[in-house]
Amino acid sequence: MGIEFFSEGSESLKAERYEGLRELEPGVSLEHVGPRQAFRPEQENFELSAGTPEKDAEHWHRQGEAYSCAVVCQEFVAEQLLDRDFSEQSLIEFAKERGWYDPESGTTANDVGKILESLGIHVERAKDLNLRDLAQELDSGAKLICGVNSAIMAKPELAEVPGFNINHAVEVIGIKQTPSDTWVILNDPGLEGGRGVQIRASTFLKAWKPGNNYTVIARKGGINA
Amino acid sequence: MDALELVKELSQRDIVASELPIGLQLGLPWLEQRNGRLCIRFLPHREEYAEDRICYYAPQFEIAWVWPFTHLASFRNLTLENEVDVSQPLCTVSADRLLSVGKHGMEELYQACSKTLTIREDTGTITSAWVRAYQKKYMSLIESLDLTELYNR
Repeated sequence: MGIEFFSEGSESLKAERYEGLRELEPGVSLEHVGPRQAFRPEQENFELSAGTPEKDAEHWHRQGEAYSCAVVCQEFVAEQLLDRDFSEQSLIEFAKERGWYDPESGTTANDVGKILESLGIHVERAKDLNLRDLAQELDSGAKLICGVNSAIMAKPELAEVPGFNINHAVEVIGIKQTPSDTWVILNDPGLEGGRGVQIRASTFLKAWKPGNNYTVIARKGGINA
Repeated sequence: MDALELVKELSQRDIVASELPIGLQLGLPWLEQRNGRLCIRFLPHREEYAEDRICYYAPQFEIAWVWPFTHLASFRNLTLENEVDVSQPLCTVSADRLLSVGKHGMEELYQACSKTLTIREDTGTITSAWVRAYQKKYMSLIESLDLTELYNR
């Protein structure tokens, strides 16, 4: 679809268009990150986009337990792909019974996606993806759960402090590029107002990086479909 | 050996991906000798950002690898051994402090860790004095950040 995304080593980066940018990492130059904003399609006049953020944002709700982000992200995805309603509590009980969720600590990286697999959804777990990969997956109809660091999402400067790892799951529901910047649109279950929240790609990349860009890719058409 | 790279690599290991929930951070690396063998130990715990502060909760696990860090030295689920209260943070540090004192101190700590590991790598051994020097730096950092309750175990 020809979207030019900022990504590691991206050949399409047109940094010369953006004065005053600083290099975040090799091949990634974006301006300093600002506050998160809600995605309001009626106010947007973006040129290019990936995903169906308006539709997918309808499934957002705030997570009910401190560590249930991964369960809730799977709930969003299951509802989007299967066109059925699920409750967080029923999925929590389902996952607890199978050892995929602990109310005191959450879900391991390897267990993210197992609820979806049990519902017949095809799941892949990937690392080292970039924004272009995410855009392609979104445009193919896949749903994406990414591992991020929530502190870096809230305060991107913290990426400079060594040792942060991922500690939160969010659903990436869209990517858009405007003349001035690239944005990632999320369903963030841990954030009040996390429905279709958009953050600068530079912030997302910083928060996604500690887990080597860990992503769970879910598609319709698993073995039980 | 670059300690930051090592810690990142350890955090990607299958044991971590399959046993430690993603809500937990490995935290700072502690070096120690167990029966004369160099080990690197972590106390995975929850960290939460709220109102411009990082809140640190009690460690829920202990995980350690023995040199050359291809094998586990120990893995303990601390919540099965004692009551671990994760409802309230043990300590908090402001983001500003973490970005100033914390960033500088952690960079120095990782450098010291790298130096210790490089000595072990280059000479094939490590003296207790080197490990103690690293531990002293570790203790100094956690004291300066008021993280003693979290890490001094």
